[in-house]
Amino acid sequence: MTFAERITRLSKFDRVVGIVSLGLVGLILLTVLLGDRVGVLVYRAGPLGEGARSTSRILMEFSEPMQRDSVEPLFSTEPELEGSVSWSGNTFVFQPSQPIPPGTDIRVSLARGAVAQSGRVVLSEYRFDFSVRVPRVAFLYPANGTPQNIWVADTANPGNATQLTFSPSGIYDFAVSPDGSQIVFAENNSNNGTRDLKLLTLETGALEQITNCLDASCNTPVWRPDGAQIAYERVELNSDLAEQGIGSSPTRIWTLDLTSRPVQTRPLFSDLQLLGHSPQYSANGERIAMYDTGMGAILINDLTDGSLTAIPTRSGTSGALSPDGTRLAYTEIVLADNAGAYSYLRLANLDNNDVTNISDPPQEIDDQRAVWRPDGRVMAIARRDQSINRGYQIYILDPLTQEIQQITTDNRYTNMFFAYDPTGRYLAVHRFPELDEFGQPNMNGLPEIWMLDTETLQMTMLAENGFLPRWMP
Amino acid sequence: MTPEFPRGPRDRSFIKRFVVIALIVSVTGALLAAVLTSGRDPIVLLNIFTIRFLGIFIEAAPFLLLGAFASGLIDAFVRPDDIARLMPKNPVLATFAGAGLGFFFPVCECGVVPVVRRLYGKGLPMSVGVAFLLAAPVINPIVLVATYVAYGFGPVLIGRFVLTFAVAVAVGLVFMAAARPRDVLRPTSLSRLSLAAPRGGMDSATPADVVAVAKVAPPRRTLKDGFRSAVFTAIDDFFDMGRYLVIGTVLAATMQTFISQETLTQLGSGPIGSVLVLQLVAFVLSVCSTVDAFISLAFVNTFTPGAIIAFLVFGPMVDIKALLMYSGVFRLRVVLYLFLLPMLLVMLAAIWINLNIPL
Repeated sequence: MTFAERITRLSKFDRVVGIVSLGLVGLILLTVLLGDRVGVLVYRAGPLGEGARSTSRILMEFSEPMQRDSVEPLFSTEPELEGSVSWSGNTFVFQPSQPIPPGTDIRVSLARGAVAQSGRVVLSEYRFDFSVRVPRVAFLYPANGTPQNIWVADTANPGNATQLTFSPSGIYDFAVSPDGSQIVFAENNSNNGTRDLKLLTLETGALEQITNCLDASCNTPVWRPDGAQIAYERVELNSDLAEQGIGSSPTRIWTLDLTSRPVQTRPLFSDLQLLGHSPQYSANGERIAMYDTGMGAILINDLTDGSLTAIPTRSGTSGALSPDGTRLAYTEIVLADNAGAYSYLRLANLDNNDVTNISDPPQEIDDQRAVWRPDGRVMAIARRDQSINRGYQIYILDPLTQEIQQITTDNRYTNMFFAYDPTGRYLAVHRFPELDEFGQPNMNGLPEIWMLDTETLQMTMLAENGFLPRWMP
Repeated sequence: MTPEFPRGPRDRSFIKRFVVIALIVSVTGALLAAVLTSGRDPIVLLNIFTIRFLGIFIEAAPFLLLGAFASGLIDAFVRPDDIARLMPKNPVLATFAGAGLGFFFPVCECGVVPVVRRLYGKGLPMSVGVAFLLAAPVINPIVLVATYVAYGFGPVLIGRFVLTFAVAVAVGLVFMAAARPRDVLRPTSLSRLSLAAPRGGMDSATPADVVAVAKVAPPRRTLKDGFRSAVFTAIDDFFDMGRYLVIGTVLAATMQTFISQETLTQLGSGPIGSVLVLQLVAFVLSVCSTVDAFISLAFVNTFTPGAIIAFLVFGPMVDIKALLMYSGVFRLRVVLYLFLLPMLLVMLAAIWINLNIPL
């Protein structure tokens, strides 16, 4: 049978279907030949507008997997920022190496021509703008009453703090995530001495309980710098064993893995003989330090190889890890001739275990607290010179040259807690007015939250009757 | 010279049986060869196959049961004159109406086949039945809600419903233009049609069927008799269509056992390749339209929006098990057309979307 005969034997229906099918194939070919008028799209980009944080990452999510090498050369910012590039699926992530100064306007551009793995191209230039907002400071309020909740003060508009949490039972302490988008806080449970950690997402207001400490106190959370993990203190209350004379457990460090849901928690050390409190991560996230009361030493756990270093000290604090994690500044206590005690600062090099004194003051001087500036070059310390005043003042100390500069001078105040903002220019300071304006002991004094510009030494009060200030970048 | 004898029904039956046995032997041999050459443990492959088979079958069987029961109710309570009265007289309008019938018969792709077969028996025009067959698995309230939950109100939800409606109507119009029942239906389905429309003129165009059956409407059943009849009809339909479901599920599970979803998704990307790949994935996966929106979420970051819409439109219309079930109603060449036309229409629309609409 010839082809023509076969065609004629087909029914009208068969022929119609054949013609329609051929027409559709033709239309498909025509559509393809007319070409791509859409190209690869940028689905989402950020940050946008005026709410960017100084530590914000610049993100661009593409509509499909990209040839990554083709994107990076076409990416630019104005003014130019240095930083590192990473990818999360289809999302391009640029992390500036230094925090962007508040008030800076940034224009981000992606020139046309970036290529997807499929061969599609970004057909037009993509641009967006954002501004870095002034940082804010979160703190607990009121210091002289209950329940204490988290409040936030805008450094550009001090005095107008807003309440962030509304816990009826009160918040014990808290920590702001490195990117400033979340706050983890320890909330007192009702009257049984237990505490649980809760995670508050600031943009959405979503609140998630991330521990289940039925008979334990879980508090003092600290974020790993990548924001994926939280370390915290945990004390088992052993309520069911109280009649047998068994009390609470010593404090141990536990961790929370935030990358999975439900959030997974486990002890930092499988060896229960290792205790710890006051955990802190190095800024690069490679080391975690804590104070082991059983051992009487600061423990430094290298998270890259699991090694453990112990630095004996009687201070009871975990010191301050340098941002690169290679050095630890900590205090050591010395008994004074008059039966009192004073502290001085030491610096341990964790690479070679060398320990040197970075302050070796006479007995009238007491160095209590050290906080590294984010660039790791100098540190702010709390020093009390009893020959001059009764309170602690803040000094900037260069650990290499041991040069020191006093940056707070008001003798009425003692400066008890302070923390650098991500740019390293400002300090949030928790101060207490020990003396009144006449130089007499201040019986009605309330703690205050201040911001100190370490370049101009200008101080701005942000809130009264607050404590535990934390930067919200 | 040997005289030639005309081939009788017995000869044809023998040939058919021979072909079926040969097919079974060939498929079994191919499967054995695939197992032996895959380099994987046959026990593991058997476990994977069993899980996939049960996954598809357990998901589909309740919908087939629902469809069979709907079919039974139609058989018991819907008279041909009801169809004639309710359907628009204009065949084009009737085809459009057929594509929207799913809102009144909310059935999955497994359940729609016995319903369509039963409606054909009641005198439903070919084009309306085809439009209903292709559209009902998507154009129904259950799938509307499922897709909304998965994607929210946006281009995927709109694209899925508009494109499904358009493709179903387009294919229905092709059938309206040229298909006669004897070209379309299997002899067994045709015989039901004959009973319903003794004077319907099977050689004529489809609107004639409607007019004819309206004149021979049987009396209405009582509620009790109707339900009893509906149950028996549903049982018959369930087992009748169930065998196609089982065979289709075996084929789909076999494909999934030997061709992983990951392999398919690696085959293509981009505005054209992604559409082809996800149409193939939809065909092989054979998942029910009530859950496919959630499954497709896994493809969102890898495939283009057009491809996602193609997956959500083409899969419910045509997949392995659906094709097998179609073959219980339609002639084989029509089953091929019911695969080809939706495939090309969806492909055209999805590629056009990818190349011209920024989503």
